[in-house]
Amino acid sequence: MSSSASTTDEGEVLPESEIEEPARQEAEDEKKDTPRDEVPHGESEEMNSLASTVSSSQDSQDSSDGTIHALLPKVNCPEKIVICLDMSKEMTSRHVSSRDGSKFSPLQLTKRVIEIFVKTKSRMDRRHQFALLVLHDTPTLVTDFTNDPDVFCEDLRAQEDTEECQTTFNVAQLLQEIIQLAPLPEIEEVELIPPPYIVRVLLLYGRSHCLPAAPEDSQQMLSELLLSPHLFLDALYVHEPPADDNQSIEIFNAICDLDRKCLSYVYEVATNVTMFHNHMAKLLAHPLQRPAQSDTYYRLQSNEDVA
Amino acid sequence: MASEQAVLKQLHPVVRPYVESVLKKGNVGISMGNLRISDVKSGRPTVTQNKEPCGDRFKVSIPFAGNSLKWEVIFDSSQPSNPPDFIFLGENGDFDPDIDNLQHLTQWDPKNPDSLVSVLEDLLREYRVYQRQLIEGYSRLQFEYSSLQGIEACEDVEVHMGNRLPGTLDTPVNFLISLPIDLSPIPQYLVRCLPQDDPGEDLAVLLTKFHNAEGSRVTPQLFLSPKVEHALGDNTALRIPRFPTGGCLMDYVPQVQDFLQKQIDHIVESYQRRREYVAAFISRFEGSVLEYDAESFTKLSLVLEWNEFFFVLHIELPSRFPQDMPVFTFQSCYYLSKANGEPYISVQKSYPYSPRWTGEEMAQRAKVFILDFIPQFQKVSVSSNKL
Repeated sequence: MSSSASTTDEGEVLPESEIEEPARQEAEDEKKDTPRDEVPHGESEEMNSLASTVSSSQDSQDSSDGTIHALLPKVNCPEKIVICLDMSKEMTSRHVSSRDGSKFSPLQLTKRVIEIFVKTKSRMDRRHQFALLVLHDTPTLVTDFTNDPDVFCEDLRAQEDTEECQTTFNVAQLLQEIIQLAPLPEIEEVELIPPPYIVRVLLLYGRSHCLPAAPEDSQQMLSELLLSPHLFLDALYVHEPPADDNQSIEIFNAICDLDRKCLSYVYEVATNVTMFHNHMAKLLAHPLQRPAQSDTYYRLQSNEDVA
Repeated sequence: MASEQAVLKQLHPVVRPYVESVLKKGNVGISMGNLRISDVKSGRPTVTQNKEPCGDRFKVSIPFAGNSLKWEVIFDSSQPSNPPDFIFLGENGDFDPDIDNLQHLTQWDPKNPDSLVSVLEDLLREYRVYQRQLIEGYSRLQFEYSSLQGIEACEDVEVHMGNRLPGTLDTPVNFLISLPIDLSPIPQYLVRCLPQDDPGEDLAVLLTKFHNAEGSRVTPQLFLSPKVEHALGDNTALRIPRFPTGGCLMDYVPQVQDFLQKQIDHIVESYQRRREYVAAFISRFEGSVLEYDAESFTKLSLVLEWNEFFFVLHIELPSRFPQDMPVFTFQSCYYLSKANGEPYISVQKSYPYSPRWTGEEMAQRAKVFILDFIPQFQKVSVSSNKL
């Protein structure tokens, strides 16, 4: 992960890990010549595969080349946000430090940023709804959809017990449960008719030794779900710094592979507490109105820069 | 409506279709409400054994010029192809329309369910003529009426002398004037009513009551149909210009029309300015958009970074934009306030601003302000809250 070191006085700066891993945005620069209609692959663990995935998704966003997937009208319809909080043992088995020396487990940090997220989203539009799913080996519904951030946060704060989990996590099952919880709107002309709501899955995954995958016989169903026009999947992956004894890179690839429509926001962070908060803030963006992840740009330039 | 259903149930099957049509389509004249049916009775000498509904006479209430006419309609259910008779209650026998002018009565078509509606329209037309003739005895009122003919601001006029004693003016004379109103420039979302209501037509009617024949005491009242009221604001009707003492309708009606038009123009312009503002911000900060109100353009949120410090900016446009400036709320992505557990915010309601700037310029100047303000926001948000 090549997170740039924060240089502000108040920033939480931590030494970067030695082993670099291409962030999604960087990798796309390397491979611009990939054919545009190449379907993203998730199986390979090569960096090249990841890069080509990102590059083809970059191209498909470029409207002058024609988008692959239908873009819905840019309306701020209500979102039904399913927050999937990983409660595996890994979320509490390590700690990161902030600048002032305070230590936090990934779980503590995650709960904190989720709370800020939910309260901010609710402030932007009271119609947005939030549901809380916790992930052990299988997903469990903790809170059904509510637009009351206080109700949600109370349940969120109560989540403490993490469990040892197996070596794979069934993503297909997760999505299937989500669809049961939140049936998608059925609309004929998706590009014209603003939907009454969209469903956004916000996956907060924290395992460095457990690959999210789908059994062979669910691949088709998973693919169909991930291509639904009104379903969006975003992810924030918090992981151990990549090393020989973990699968952080493979897992990151697998999560990126879930972005079949090239409309997702996927972020990763290992130890930088500030970055963790920054990424969650970027995830506030409404899927129908936000730029593609590759087009995001947040820096406020002073007037001497670009006009 | 329940009462409509109750009325229909009481009617003889031969009569019912005509009344159904009246209840559905009976928006005759410059009406401020539909026709109402009441007092269903039967003219049959005996009631049949099987207790079928046999009502064939009833009263119809017709809104007219701010008053309500009550006419009795008399069918004969044993002679289904005959047209009905009418009694004009409250007219002291003075309303006696020439039957030659009532085509739908003389050529009554029993098979057409709209026949009764058509007869009522014929009668109402004659009634209007009758009322106009009544005011001929009063030169001022006659002048008021004739001066309204053909002016643009006046689509149609109904005048009613009220239920007064003949020869006196102890009740006011009502002039009901329908004003042309075009809501089409107003954005759809403002015009949309609750789904269950039938929004009906766009109506604006001015009811002016002349309390004496000289026209020295005149009280105006503006009535707007629900859709218009919803679009222009609920207290619009209360703010019409006063009727000037010694004034006349010919001058006043265009004033009211003008007032309404200004309301519409104001709404349209405000909407367009808000849309321009939001578009300018989205364009300037396009890589940072979180979400914005794509219907009424009253709010927009961005996530921005300054020196690796991220923050959220919420912008809210007040109803009197652009005269009133948008409110900027800076929000921390790192801290919840100890006081209330909500994300730490700083609200800025005062910054360099002019309503005369274009949206583009407002966005540019906003950026300057943000760059000025953010170092201080960062300092305070960090020092007053701790991770």
